[in-house]
Amino acid sequence: MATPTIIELSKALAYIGGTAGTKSYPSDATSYETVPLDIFHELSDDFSALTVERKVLVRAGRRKDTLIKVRSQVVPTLPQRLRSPAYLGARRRALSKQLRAEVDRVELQVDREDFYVATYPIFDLIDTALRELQTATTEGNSREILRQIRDSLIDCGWEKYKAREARNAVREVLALLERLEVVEAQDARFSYGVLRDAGLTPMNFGKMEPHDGDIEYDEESGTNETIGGAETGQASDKDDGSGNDTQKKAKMCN
Amino acid sequence: MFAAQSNRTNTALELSFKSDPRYISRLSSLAGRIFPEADMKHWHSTGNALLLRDPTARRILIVNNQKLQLQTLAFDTITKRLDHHVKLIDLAANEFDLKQFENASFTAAGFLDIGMSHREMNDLMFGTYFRPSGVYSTVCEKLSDSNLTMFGEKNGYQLDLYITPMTVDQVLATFDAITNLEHFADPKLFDSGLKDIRSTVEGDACYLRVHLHKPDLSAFEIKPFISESNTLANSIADNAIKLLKSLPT
Repeated sequence: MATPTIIELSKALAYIGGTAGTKSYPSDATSYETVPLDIFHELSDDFSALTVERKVLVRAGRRKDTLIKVRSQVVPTLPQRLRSPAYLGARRRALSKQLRAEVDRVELQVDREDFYVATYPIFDLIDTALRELQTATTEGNSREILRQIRDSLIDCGWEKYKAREARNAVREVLALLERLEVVEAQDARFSYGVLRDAGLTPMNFGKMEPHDGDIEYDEESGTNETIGGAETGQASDKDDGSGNDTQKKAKMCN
Repeated sequence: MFAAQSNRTNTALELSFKSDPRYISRLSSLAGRIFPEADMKHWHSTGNALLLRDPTARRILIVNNQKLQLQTLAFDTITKRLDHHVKLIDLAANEFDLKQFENASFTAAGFLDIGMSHREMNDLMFGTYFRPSGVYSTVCEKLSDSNLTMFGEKNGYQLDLYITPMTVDQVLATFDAITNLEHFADPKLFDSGLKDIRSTVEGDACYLRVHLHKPDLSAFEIKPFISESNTLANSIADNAIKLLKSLPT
């Protein structure tokens, strides 16, 4: 249980040189100073998050009163930081192997009309890997490479995965993540070059996707067109099951 | 991996042979011949067995009516003085008139520090050596420990392989249970050397035990057996840890 102990509170009070007063405190925030006191607990029995907050007003006579806000917090993500570089390196290699298998699976689905669906597992697994390696101080370059692959997928980048050359480049980069004990900055640079040379976009800041109501300029006709207007009815980003979504995405990428 | 962490690895070379009713006189004769050659400080004889001890180099030699055993507390002790040890074995073989050993085995057991906690090593066992932990949820949840035992062959050797992530308590209990451990101390009760070795292995570790054996080996095949099995055990340990860490082998 992550409640502040009497000793912790006493220390906090001693720090500001006052004694505990009444529990009620003035509603006028300008009449007192606030001192936040955060206590973090890195371990708990079941790694569940918990926060307990107490406020103590310290009367100081002529001086301005002080409100101490003591917040005792169990932070479940911190124990994960205790995970060793060796362990996280092993997880990165295992996840990269899984990712490579996903890229292999894509090969069988290049003829699908909704090809972006086939590439989604890659995107999803990269997301999982990034979350798992998030706190690892030794896996920064690995995360960078994973982001490069993720970026190569977004904004219709998945369409380029239909080309064998692009998939081979991604496999090559993943093989690197699979075999290295430690991933260096030069590996991230190498990966960037490999992906870029294969026609992928390893650094993608994203572009605005057209939404209903947006106005798009048509170069050929020189006119403005409202997206999702009367002509297209109730088209939206959500798949209505009619295949419109697939057609829309395919059109967008073309 | 054993070679890289030699001081965390104990070994035993065991050569077994057919017992002979004349063994008592032969053992006595062997004691007289082998002790000056063995470069070991202490000898003990129970009548049924001869024990030579070299606590400084952490090695002991035991010969009884059906077995010769060379045991060490470091991986490279035997191979560092390979010719010397082969000579001692030859002496015993000649004295017992042995042309053939019934079985030859080499065991290396290491408390390997791979930079991970017990929990992490156990977590990695699933998904590498075992199927992902979720698969077992219907029979066992929150898998807190694991132990893998494999029996098979490798490069013409019979192989028994044990892989066990261990907590510090498990490491110490296993270390304390090493056979003949007390004979490695000099003097037996007050030597701090054993305590030092025990401190070295203290901590979470991946316990790896490689037991390689071959039946029916002639006396002149012992030398290649020792060096080959030593190299093979080290290579198996390397690959076993690489598998656990998802590194290419």
